[in-house]
Amino acid sequence: MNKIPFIPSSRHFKKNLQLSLLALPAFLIIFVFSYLPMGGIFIAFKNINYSDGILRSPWVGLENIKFFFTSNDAWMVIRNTLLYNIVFIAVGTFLSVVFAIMLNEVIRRSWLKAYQTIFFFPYFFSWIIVAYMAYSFIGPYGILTTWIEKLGFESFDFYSETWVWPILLTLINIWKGLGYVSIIFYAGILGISQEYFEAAEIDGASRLQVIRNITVPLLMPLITIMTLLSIGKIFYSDFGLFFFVPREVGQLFPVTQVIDTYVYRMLKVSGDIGMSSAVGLFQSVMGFIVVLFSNYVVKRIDDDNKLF
Amino acid sequence: MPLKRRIPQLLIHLVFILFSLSCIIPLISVLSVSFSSEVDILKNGYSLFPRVFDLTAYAYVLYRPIQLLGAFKISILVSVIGTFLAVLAMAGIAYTLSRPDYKYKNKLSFYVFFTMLFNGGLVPTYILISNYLHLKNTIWVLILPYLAVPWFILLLRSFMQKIPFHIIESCMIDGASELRIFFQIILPLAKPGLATVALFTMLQYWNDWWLSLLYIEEERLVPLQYMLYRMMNNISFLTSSTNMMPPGLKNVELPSESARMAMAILAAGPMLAVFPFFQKYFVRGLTVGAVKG
Amino acid sequence: MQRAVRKSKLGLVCTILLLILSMLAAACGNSGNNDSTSNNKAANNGAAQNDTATSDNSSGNAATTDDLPEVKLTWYFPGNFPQPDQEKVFAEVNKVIKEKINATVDFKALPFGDYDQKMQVVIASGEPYDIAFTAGWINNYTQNVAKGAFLPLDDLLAKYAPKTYASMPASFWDATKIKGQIYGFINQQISARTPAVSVPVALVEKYGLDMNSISGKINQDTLNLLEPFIQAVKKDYPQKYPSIGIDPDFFDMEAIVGINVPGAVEFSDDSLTVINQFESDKFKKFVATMREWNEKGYLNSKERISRKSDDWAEGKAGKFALAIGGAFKPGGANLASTLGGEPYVEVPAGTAHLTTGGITATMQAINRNSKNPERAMMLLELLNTDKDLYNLLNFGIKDEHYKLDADGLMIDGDNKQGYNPSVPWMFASNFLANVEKGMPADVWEQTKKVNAEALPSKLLGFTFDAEPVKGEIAKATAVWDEYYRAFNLGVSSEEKYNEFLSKMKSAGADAIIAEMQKQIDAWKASK
Repeated sequence: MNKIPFIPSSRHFKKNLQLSLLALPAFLIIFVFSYLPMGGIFIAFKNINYSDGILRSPWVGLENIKFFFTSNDAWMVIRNTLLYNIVFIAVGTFLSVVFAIMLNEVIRRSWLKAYQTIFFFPYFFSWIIVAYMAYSFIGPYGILTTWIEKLGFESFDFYSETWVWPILLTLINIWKGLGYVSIIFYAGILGISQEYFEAAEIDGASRLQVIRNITVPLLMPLITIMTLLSIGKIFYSDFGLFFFVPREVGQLFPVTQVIDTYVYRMLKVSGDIGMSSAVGLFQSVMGFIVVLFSNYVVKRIDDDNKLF
Repeated sequence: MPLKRRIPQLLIHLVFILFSLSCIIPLISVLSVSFSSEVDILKNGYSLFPRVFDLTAYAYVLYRPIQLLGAFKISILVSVIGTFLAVLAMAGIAYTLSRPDYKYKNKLSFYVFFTMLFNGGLVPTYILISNYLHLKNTIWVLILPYLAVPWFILLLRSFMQKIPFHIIESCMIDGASELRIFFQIILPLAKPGLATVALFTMLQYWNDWWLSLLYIEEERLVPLQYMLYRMMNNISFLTSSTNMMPPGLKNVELPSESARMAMAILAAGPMLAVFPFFQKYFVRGLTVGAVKG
Repeated sequence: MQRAVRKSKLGLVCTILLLILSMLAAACGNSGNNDSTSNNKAANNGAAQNDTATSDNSSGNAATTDDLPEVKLTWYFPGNFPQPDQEKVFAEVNKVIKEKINATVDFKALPFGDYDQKMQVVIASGEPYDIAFTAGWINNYTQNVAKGAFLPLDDLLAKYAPKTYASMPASFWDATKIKGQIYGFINQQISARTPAVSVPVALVEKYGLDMNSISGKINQDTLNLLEPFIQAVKKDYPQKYPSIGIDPDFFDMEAIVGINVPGAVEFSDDSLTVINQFESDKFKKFVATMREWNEKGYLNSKERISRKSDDWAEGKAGKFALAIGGAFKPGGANLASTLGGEPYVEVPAGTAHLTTGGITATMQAINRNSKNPERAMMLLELLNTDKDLYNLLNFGIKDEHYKLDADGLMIDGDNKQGYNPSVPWMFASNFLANVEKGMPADVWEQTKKVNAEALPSKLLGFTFDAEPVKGEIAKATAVWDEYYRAFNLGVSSEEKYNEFLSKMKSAGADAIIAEMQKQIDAWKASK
């Protein structure tokens, strides 16, 4: 580890001290806003009653989480969360890699720059603005709604048809993130040493062969890292997407409710913090287990690609 | 150029142009609605280009815009201060993490990245911030929680890892202190990385509604996105802020559809204008190198 | 490296443990503080008692502020906020409050749409606010009491708000009692409730709607009386629709917790049998009628489904053909006209009944964790006895936001739009409000008369303790949230309706109703 053996240890001490100092502000912020709240996890095991206060409220063990699992909605929201995330990860990663490879094939710099800029547009809008945009297409006066009627079809009410939402939400999510993620992969491709490509060219490989045998394999570590990180969040969802875009229409809950929005709404209607904390904890723990597991699997397959 | 490469080129451009259109059209449609007349909208629905060009929505939104201006002020203030502090704080820790010879490197990486996977949840965080830190209804509550985002730290660290170590080494031999190396050598060298993270951070601050949804009750601290969210369900957040139509627009119906879209444009616009300043660093800055700790 | 990670993990676990401990310690430290504040409270108590004594001596004069230490109170309430000039008005209000009871109030004026959610989080976090608005329809009173969020008010009322306490019949206070204790401070207003049918005057005249013929006759079975009118309006103004709220009074029932929780008793039922209102023929009929209306294109459901509720702002945008909801009251048309931006007329939908829900529709509660409950109560008493102060908070600054004409009736000020929250019942007794021009001069006398003469519900005086079934109630509320808008807008199919019923069942509707019946039977036996 020690790469500079000729520096005396007092220097090392000073160096480490100064480096620690540089890290300190962020260290403290993370401590306060990420680690301190973990101290409140015990709330998940209590039946909170305000006359006793949070600390003196009775312990109820796993009662809160049991309450969640006996509700109508537990399986529905878990299913929604997982299915959406699996689709998002699979389709999103695939398309992003394809886009990155295609970007790498674009020869004219001006085109490349234009595409990169435009692809980033959706990433710039907050979910609220995306919700407004979606509304301008599928709302009661929306462009799509109007067209459907003009073309002579029966009028279609997007906000009360459950079956379109899985498709819509997937499209919107991928639309929003594609530019961003594909440029991360594109940067990854640029990081691949040119020697490989030159060697391939000398060997007379076709573009597709180059992509299949050089670009993709060398991009694999990055793809794995990005996927592992997404898998770590598989029990979480983008709150904004599921909360704002379907505009909180109750009828759509069966296909738009995910764990995050569910916890938020439960808190909103019942104010039961014990239960919402329990669900939050469940989310964290499950996510953690999933990451450890998939990291283990990756490690078994290819030790180089593991996250830690 | 060999023919073999040209057909895929066409295909690629076709796909990319289609996707580009899908990125631009929603913006145009919102823009178009905001410039349409309310009567026409109610009769014929939205369209990609205004059938009847009309500025009522903007006249309405910008008449007595005290609250709107206030919201802009808060959003800008939070974005600028937040971005500055965040980039500084994250660059600091990212640099430390990028140094292979830092003694606590592994422990510190774990400390940072563990929070990407595990958190205390909404309620404990809320209790901490409102009852113990007393940050509720202060501008700091909109800034502090995003000062150290692990993902951005990861990006920055990857970028800094690519700075050749011998540069740092030679500075050390010259007797420069770590702080000096950081400020005078590393920060300028890491400019693309910093610019990229700065853009993302700024976006995050500008687009945030979550913190204000939870921690802001006072109108003077309401940022744009939160205002926009409240208008989504209830246009009266706009109407009660003005409570009446501008003079000269007396007999026009309240432009509720177009005014909402006008607000969306006002909220989205500034970030699109900021982008070109960061663009030249962009691709280089987005390198996610070895994540391994 | 693997080892390093493992080691650091151990370190992390230790850190977290340490954190939990330190948090606990901090919290304990805090509860220690609480003890000392409760000592302060006692001291305050004494001081305040002295005060009431002095004020009694000086025959009702405001208490001298000398003995009271200065405090800051926090008051959460909903309304048509934000208002452009609210800070200015609140500052004026604070000047008076400071002078009278040496307190300043941090007014947390929230929009209606945000209030419920904000209060849940505020209460959940144990924030030491002082006063919050509560009712059956917003920031749910029974649920909050069940969670122990509020302070019992019996002693405080007797000591610090004797005038307000005496201004209402004891039966009103009984209506707020849960397990024998008062937790809600009533803002008097119309308590005998039936929804109001509000129609824009212009439409009434143009289409010759005979308001008298429908007055008191509108319920789920007679909605068709309105159909010819709606049809005619629709022909000329397709954007206008009838906005019909779902309200227990509309169905001639008393809902025990609220319309969103199963459990209601029919006004006409002497046996006080708790039924599931959602399974009743009345509700079924309403859902069917709405479905039929939507099929006929009356309801503009497509436009409305993406909004959680109809809002008077929609009325202002010229979208209401008529609105059924709220409570019919003398002078109510004035309020509707202000909110709707054009003149409205109102008639009662049915016969007004005096119910627990009606009496407790507008209340203030004091936080269990309030550091100054005595002063909070003094503030409430002050607002309920000081007409000028109340009207300042209510209508803004005189001659700026409102004016009084020669007859003493209130007319619009030049800057009315600067402050006009239109929620007089939010702050204190509505009966202290300036009478608006256009209202009968004796509007509050009339209102009191309506209250006094209304048929009392047979359940009057019973309040439900929600604690034993609070989990089921939370689940049922979530089910309601998913479906009610669809019923309201007639976009639900028969299947959906049945699905709703079965989901309510599995959420625990039967358990809730059984618990209600148990408590009602016990209450009946004790009478």
